[in-house]
Amino acid sequence: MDNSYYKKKIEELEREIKARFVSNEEPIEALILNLLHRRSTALIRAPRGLGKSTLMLLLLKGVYGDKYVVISGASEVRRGEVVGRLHIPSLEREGIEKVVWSEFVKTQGKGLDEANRLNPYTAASIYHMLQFGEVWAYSQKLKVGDYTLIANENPHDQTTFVHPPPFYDRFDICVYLSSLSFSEKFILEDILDKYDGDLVGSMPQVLTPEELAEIRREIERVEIDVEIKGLINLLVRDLQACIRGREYSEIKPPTLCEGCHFMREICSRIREGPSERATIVLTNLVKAKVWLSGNIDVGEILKMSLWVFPHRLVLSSGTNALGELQDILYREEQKMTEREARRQWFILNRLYREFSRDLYNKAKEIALEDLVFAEEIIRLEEKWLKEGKIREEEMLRNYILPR
Amino acid sequence: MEFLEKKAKRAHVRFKSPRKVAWYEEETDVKTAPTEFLEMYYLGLFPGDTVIMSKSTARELEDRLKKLEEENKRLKEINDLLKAGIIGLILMLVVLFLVQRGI
Repeated sequence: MDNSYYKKKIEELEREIKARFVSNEEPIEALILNLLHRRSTALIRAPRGLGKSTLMLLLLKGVYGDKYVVISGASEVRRGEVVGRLHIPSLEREGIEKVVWSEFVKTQGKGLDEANRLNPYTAASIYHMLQFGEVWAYSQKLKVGDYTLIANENPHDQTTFVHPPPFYDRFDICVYLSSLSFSEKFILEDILDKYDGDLVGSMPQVLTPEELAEIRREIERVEIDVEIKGLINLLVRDLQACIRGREYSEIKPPTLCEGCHFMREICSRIREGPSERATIVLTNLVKAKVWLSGNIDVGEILKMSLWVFPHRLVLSSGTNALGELQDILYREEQKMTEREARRQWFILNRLYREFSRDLYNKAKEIALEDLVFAEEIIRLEEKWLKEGKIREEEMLRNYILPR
Repeated sequence: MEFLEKKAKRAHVRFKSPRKVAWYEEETDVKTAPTEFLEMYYLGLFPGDTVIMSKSTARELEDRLKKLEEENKRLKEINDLLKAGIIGLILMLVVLFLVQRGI
């Protein structure tokens, strides 16, 4: 089938959701883009009463009709409901441990309401499913196919259990909903009147799971430009890199940054950087956007970063404030422009091909301004040292690596 | 490597010879970028909105300011003495002039 048919379906899904959900256009666009790759997971964060559960249900209903399962973290969820339970008649009559797998595991459309209230056992089962694409119960394993998991939570909710960062890392994106302005409250009243107060019940199934699977297959085949791939890799690396190896250090920024050459750089504002999963998710989002619109620019990628990084970064200030992340990404944008102006990729390309004393000296100057570039030069220096092209005392590591 | 090749092709550099390259670096907007104090002072760089300095530079600057103030005070004292001397000499000249005229 022509892919313009599928694109129209996605546009229709967005239209139907926006017709029932006031404001928050950007989170809706993010959630729909994120739907378009296999094993899609998303987390909606908002204070109570802002419609995070409604938005989750609108998305699930728009794709899976009534065939979706929502587990509520606020209730007493047992493993039997999330993963599977023993089939008692088989055990009593035949002595066989037969597992009845839960609907949550078997169905493609999955919802997690108030995910931060899940008990650790349930969270661990879900984590295993997200990590390995399988579930275990009573020594039996079930492979889980493609799915869509949408979760929501209230970040201000003081819960009994705090989920570990790897649990949140399994969510591809995290979007924050904003409260309604004065005029938007009137719009909400009109919408509620229009749909007789039943926003979710009135939501039509726009796509079928088969159509979504076909879209996901098409997007998987989308090739993205090498410059875009480079930009994504740079963006993630800039947020990961630390010349003092913060990931293995017991002392963390900002204390770790005392006296560091890169103290004023972005790296000093990050206590824990993103995982490699951030690169994969950003690539998936970019592919989806290219499939949908035909192209993508730097600004859009930076906007997507605001959905990919908030739940994956721990900032030195101890907050996960979106405002600070926005500032970091603004500086990233400037950094990208400076890199182009300094012709550093040209210089690195020449240095990869052959050693040149002049370009090496220029590269060392640039490296003092750019940690990611410095890492590449330090790697090349090791090779040049073995080949006798440079002396140990002139190496860049002498200036920037801790002694 | 493919990324570097593509970026290098679009770097707009001129090859003066196989071993010499040149390019024009555009002026970037420094308004928002912080400027290092010493770079601004010694290299005459146009400063951004924020000027920063290290602890040791700040300490050195404080020392220099103190010394300059002491020097200033000392010079002011000398200046006052010289002013008093000039006034004294003027008075002496006036007195001598009057004595000579027999007034």
